[in-house]
Amino acid sequence: MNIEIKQLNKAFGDNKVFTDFNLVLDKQVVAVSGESGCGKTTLLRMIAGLTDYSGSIENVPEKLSYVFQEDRLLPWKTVCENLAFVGKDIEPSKLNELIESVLNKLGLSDTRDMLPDKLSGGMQRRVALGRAYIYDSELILMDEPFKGLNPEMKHKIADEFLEMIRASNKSVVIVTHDDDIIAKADERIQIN
Amino acid sequence: MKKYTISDRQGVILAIVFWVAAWNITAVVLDKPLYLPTLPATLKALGVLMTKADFWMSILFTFLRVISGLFISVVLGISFAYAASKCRIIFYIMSPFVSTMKSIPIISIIILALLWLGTGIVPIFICFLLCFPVVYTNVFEGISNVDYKLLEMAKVYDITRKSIFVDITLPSIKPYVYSAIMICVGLSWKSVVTAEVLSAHHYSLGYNVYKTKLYLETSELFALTLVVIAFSLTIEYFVRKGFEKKGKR
Ligand SMILES: Nc1ncnc2c1ncn2[C@@H]1O[C@H](COP(=O)(O)OP(=O)(O)OP(=O)(O)O)[C@@H](O)[C@H]1O
Ligand SMILES: [Mg+2]
Repeated sequence: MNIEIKQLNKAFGDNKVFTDFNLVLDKQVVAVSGESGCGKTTLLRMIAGLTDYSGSIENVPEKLSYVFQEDRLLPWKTVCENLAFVGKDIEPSKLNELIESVLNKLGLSDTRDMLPDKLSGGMQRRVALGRAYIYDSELILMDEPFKGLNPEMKHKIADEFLEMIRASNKSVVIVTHDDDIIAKADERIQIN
Repeated sequence: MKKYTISDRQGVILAIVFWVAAWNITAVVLDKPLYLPTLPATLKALGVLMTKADFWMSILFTFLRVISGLFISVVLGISFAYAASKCRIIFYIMSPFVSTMKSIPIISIIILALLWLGTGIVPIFICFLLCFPVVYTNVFEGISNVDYKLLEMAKVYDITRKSIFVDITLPSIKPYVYSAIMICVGLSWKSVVTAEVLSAHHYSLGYNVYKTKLYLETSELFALTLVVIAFSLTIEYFVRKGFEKKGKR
């Protein structure tokens, strides 16, 4: 990834969140941190094109995945169907293989036919991560993806997921407060 | 003190027994069959009706009118609600129609409709005028309440319009559609039979009701009413089962 953010300005009314902000994101795994309310979520949303801004953000891949602060799974679809939901462009047999391998790697094999509300918070998180991975994107934006997990779980899921990323041609931007997660990144960016 | 608990089913049976008993005791005490027939007299009238081919034809035709009215209302109600949620102009154009329909006296429309349409069609039309606003309003509210977070997620993942509709909108509005249909089942029987009384098409329960007034056959009126209630409840039952089955996993 080689995202270049130049002269970015963003305000909500009188609240100036970014003023002439510049940043280059060019490593495979980048961690972005900063105190609460400094604009981390807003930054991800602008990269994803969900919030408007002035200035320029260049080289954002056309297809990107977004792991929201909440899981945003479809409550009426099973784990498997939630994963398949973003894979409609992928050839069915290939998609099935991909889903199987993701379920396996994320330890979700036993839950494939379960609805999200039957899963623990950590499992729902993993489904959201799996979905972001399955979507045929080059970039995954993640907002506090490992928050609310117990430490053991957090390390396990983060390591599994980053291993999958490093074995692929995808890059990730992780917004997080968590020093353990920041330590796993290739590059650390602090905004304020 | 010993505590008694009853199941839903027992509760329903208890309530039915209570009200039927209350009716029958009142009728027996009152002893004026012309005003309030007893249960046995009503059942007897029902028995007599059931031997007549005309009665069955009437049930069939009334049933078909109810089902068509209901079906048209549900399909158009959902379609227009969807269109209105996508296009503000449609929403504004629909608003006066929907709110007028909710308050206008049915009888005025029935009489007007009788001038416009054939007697067999009027009940379906009336049923539509009553049910459509209910479906439309409910579904429109349902669509407005679709979780925008899911829609945003769908946008990020480039989900097609069709898939958004099928996989997000439809499941989200399902409870609204369900409650609209449940309200409309009762409404459709009431409105169809009322319109039939006035349009007096030969094969209709409403026309049978009308005749009981001419000949002062109160027990037959009660029998016909029981038939309408029974059918209304049966359809409600099947709608509930239908929705339960679809929702199950
Ligand atoms: N839709 C919005 N309307 C108005 N103000 C907003 C909106 N979204 C964010 N803000 C404001 O922009 C600033 C940055 O918000 P943002 O959510 O990006 O912070 P954050 O760094 O993600 O914080 P946290 O770590 O608590 O999640 C905050 O002051 C917030 O109040
Ligand atoms: Mg945030």
